[in-house]
Amino acid sequence: MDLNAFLQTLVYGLALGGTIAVSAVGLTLSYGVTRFINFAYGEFLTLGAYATLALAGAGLALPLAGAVSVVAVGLAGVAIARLAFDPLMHRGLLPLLVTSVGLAFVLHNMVRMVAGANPLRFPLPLMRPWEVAGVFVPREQVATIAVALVAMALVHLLLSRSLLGKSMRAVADDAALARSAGVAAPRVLAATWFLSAAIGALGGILLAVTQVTLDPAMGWRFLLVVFAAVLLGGIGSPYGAMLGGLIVGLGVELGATYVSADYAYAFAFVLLILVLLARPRGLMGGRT
Amino acid sequence: MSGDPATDPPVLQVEGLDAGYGDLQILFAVDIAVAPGEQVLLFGPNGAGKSTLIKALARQIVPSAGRVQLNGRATAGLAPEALAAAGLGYVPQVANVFTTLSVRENLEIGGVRLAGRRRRQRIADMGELFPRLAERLDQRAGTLSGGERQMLALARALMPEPSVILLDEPSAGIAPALVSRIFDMVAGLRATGTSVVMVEQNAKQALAYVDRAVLMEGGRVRLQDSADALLHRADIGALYLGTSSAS
Repeated sequence: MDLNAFLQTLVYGLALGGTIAVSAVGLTLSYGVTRFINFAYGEFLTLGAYATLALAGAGLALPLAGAVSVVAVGLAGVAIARLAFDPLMHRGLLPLLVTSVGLAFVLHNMVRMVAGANPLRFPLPLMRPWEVAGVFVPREQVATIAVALVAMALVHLLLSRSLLGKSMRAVADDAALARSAGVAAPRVLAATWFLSAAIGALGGILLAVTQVTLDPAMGWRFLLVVFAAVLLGGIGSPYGAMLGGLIVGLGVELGATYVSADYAYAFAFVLLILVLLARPRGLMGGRT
Repeated sequence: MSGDPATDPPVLQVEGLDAGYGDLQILFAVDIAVAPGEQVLLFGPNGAGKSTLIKALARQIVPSAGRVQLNGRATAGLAPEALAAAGLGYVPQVANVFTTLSVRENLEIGGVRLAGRRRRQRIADMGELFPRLAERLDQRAGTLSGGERQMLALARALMPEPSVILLDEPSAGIAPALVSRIFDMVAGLRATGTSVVMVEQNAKQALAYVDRAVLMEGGRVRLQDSADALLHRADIGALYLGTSSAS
């Protein structure tokens, strides 16, 4: 085995894994508090990427455009949830699931209507990769890994140190008990929607960087891989989602390099099946 | 610090309360008043509606008729979190701690509406009241023993210094040797001025710790009296406390 090629694959795997991990954390946070899988979540990724592209096109530096987009999509997530999900929250899972699928198509087609269906690219300058001991390390991939690590560290700090994060974990653990203990559930729910959509937007921006192009269906396509990471880590567990994302990203890149690039994303599901056979609740299922 | 039900304005007043599950009515016109600092036991046979009454007071189920006032304020329409803010603590029978959170985090959630410094002070207070918890502040609540969980559930509910605390079977699932310790802790709440309304299957033992008891049967209040008087009534002992004579 060529060690340099292996190390290079690891770098790509970590960048993809970081992207999946960030995206998976956003999805699992909203699941933990609301107990339903939001199929419109992939559209937060798409909106984040397109908003960044639009703001960068308007003259903002790409990092600033990304930061503004993350906050804007977070706020849009709160508004969307208030309009579409909150009124259905006590009517069972099915109406919520169906609404989220319908919402995904609406948002997806709105982006297509405004931005067109053709693939676009972020205005990134051409950069020579770093060469470290014979391994070429693209700077975009390193930036993606760094941003993903910072995002996951921030999520960890939020969940473990802030009262809001602890309230979110308490609601995810037992919503009725949390409310009777005095946790303001509507405020926690709104904060969760904001974080979920904002983190999703960040995942979309990272995805557009790692995959080079963005298109209106990028979030919807990527959602399946994000699900795989969420389930592999243990649904509802943010730390499981981080771990699941990294494993899936590395698995996809290693499988594509050493087995077949045609089936790259199939490896994510092979990994998922293998893990669920051994641990039906995922790697960190039952923990938060 | 127990108040006098005859003279003190009640901290919790229940009038004509009906409640149940869907079409199944369990409670019928229940009237109870609890004085400040008073400890009240709800007892009676299985299916008497004791736990349903506790759930209705905590608004885990919505009463279909009647009135509940907490510190003179009607609780109708209040969400559970607003009820907690109004001074009501609730400890359910099961699932009464956040198992994925640490002991400290459980206490922080109990004091979620307190300012940071006050919350830290209350956690220190709870550590003094329950030294076992102070030794385990960073332990996950899901790994605690049954007795420690009950202590934590009680401490969490006490964090915001509620006027009334509702306890649903605090001795359930606890080793017999620890039951009296749990009752001691509940009795110790007198010093804090917090009123207690407690449901307990182990009524005979619990009566020795409370001020007053309410006998429920068929979803109705059959009688209310001081705990001491009920402990010495032969008919109550024989029918509801499992004794052949008053003890």
